Amino acid sequence: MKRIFFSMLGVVLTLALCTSVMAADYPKKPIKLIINFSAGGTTDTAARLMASKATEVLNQAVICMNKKGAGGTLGVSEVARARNDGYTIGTCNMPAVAIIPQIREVPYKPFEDLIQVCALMPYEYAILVRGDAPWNTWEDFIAYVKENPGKVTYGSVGTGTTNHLVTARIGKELDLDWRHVPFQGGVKATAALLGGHVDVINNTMASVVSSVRAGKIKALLITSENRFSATPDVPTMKEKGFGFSQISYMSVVAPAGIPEEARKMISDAFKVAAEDKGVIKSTGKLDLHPKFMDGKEYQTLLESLAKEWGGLLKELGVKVQ
Amino acid sequence: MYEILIEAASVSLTVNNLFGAALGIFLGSLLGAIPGLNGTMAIALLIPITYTWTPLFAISMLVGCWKGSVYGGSISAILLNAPGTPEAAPTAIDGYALTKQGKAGKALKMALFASVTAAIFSDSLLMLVAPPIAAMALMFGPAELAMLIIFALVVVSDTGSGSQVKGLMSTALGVLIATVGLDPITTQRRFTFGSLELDAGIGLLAMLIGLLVMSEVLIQMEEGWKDVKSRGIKQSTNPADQRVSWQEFKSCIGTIFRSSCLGSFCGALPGVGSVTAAFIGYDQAKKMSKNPDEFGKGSLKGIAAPEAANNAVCGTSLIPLITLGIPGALSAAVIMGAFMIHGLAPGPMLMQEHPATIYGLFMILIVSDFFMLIIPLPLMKIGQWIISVPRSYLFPIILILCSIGAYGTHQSLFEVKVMVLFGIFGYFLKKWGLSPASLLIAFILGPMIEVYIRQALRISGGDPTVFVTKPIAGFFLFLTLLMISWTVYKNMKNKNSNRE
Repeated sequence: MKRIFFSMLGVVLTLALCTSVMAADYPKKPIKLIINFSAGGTTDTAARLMASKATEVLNQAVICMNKKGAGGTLGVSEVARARNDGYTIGTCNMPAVAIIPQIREVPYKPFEDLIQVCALMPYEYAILVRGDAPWNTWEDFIAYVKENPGKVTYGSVGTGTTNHLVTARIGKELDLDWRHVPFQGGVKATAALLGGHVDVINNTMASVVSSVRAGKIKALLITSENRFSATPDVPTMKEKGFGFSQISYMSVVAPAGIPEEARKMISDAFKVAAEDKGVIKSTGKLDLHPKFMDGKEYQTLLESLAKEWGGLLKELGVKVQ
Repeated sequence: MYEILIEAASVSLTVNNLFGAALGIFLGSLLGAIPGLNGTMAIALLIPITYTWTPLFAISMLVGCWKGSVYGGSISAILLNAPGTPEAAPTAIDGYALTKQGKAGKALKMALFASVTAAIFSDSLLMLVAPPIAAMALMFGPAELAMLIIFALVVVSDTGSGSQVKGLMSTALGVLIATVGLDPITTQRRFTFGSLELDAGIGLLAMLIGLLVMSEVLIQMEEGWKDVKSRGIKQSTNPADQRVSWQEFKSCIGTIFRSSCLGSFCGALPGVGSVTAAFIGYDQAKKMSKNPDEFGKGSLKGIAAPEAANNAVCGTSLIPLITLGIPGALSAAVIMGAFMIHGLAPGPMLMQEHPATIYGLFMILIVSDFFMLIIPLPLMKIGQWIISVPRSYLFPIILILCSIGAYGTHQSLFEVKVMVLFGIFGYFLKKWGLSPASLLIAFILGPMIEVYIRQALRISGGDPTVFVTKPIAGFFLFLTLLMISWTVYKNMKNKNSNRE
């Protein structure tokens, strides 16, 4: 009985996933996309939406699998280990290649074992406070921190994440005396902010935008490059005179040495997906904003980011090797 | 308001959606009942194929699947002493005792009635008082959670063990094993011995399958070895042994109510979860009971209590999800994905922007609670047939399913190795009279205590008085101390009376 059920489940899943016809050359069979975060998160949702569009373009199924853990590095290492025939690709975040490998050993060389096929969506971040906090602007807040040294706590989604590093760097540049509290992921950081257990957090906008609209959370400063559509009045870090931003894209990576033709086809298909009206509409409902960037360009950006953050890691004492 | 409710009913209570919920419950209880597989796995498998469906159909199916699996776990716990899901671990203690007495039907039905009652209770809280409960949940910051979890650990540490010392040994082992992996605060490696797979720590599911299911198979294989004629457990033919009478149910109502409250409370707090609820539920029933000696020997309350507690978690864990966009449990996090993929961003605006969908979901939840009464019945029949199957046929299949389950969690053979290792380890634990269940709960709670204490101290700037000066934290610390002193006092009294 159990086994019958399982074989049936297998058949149903296979049918649901393999709906495509064989193409002439590449891709000859379904492409596996390893999503390096858990099912149900923003990365997962955006990746799946774009993968289903890419499936149409490639005329071949792009099958999504989740391999989460260790800051996204487990999924990325699986891609690095895979055969470089173009049938295994994965999603990737900036820290998995540019930061974490500088903190601890990972089973891949980020710039040798992997190539960035294309970048699809910038993550959008902000410094957030509770809706009833006494500060309405970034200046108010900074003045308060300076007047109350050692009192203010800032939450991040974990040590060594961009959220932690950018906030710590802001603190260094402005000479702020505040304390870092790392949480296990954005959900817990948001809960701690809403409950008033920390004063401020750095988190992705998409995950809190509903609370922002309801007035329960205020954004003081957008730490990513551009202003956020739902909070057009909140300035960015650049506008406030900082020389850096919190830059991380959801990108598509492949094992190094995949055929150029395959790389191009995947990149083109995801370009169509990221610019597709339907995709933009569905991601827009969640306040996610896909933006395509060429793989080579992103790779160069990553290399410079790795250098930029490497020094800070050492200063903060999170750098081990 | 009425208009919204009518609209909600018209979009939600369609044949399609109800069928989705029913199918979800069936799949969930089936996968939950199979040792080695579980509902979170089922939900994760289902999510990609739900993307093309309407939101209500998809979400009602996923929630049904979750509810079903939480109940389903008790089927294998009761019949085989091999809990299909971690939250069913305490159910096995008394459930399997009843099965051995030939009263499997009674145990299964008690579990079902307790589950359904608690689910209705929890769903009603979700519908009626979600905002205040969400506000209460937010009051629990790191300091409060640290003390709450310490209290929970103290309460449950002797569950299932013969003696307190052995219970504490299992607990300490569990906490120790949980330290493997990246340090949660500084992300340094701890006890990974250079294995990168251990960075994420030892996988809960792989460990659980090994400790609870595989170890049981090994134990029973050994028993079968000694007794070649072992051909499964004979069930009583007396109908009174296979059903729950109204009297019996009534005697458990107090227990079910307390467990429902506990479970609902644990569900609303992000990250506390159904396993904790089930263990505390079992323990409160034992401590409140006039005859605590009955527990472990087939007490109906010992089944009703953990089952009510773990099922009550489902409804309320949707409260922080729907009101704040914060999922209260692992499965709720996966279900949040289903909301998102259908363009419903969970958070405070959800109720205002999509009231019909949310009220519709509530209605489906309540209706599906009643489905829960009927749908698992055929599974019970099959289950009862399965225990009469000779073990020599049954165990190889279970071991294969265990391997599939362990592999399936991360699609990695490493997890299968972890499972086998813990299977053998669990076998010895059981031989030595140490409880794998208390090891498991310590494994779950230990890291939470560590993280919350360290976070609380970071927030306070290293000042440990926060655990006393914050009222909620202080309250739980007081309860913990009370609990410990009470146990010490009781032990001393027993010692004295033994001497006399």
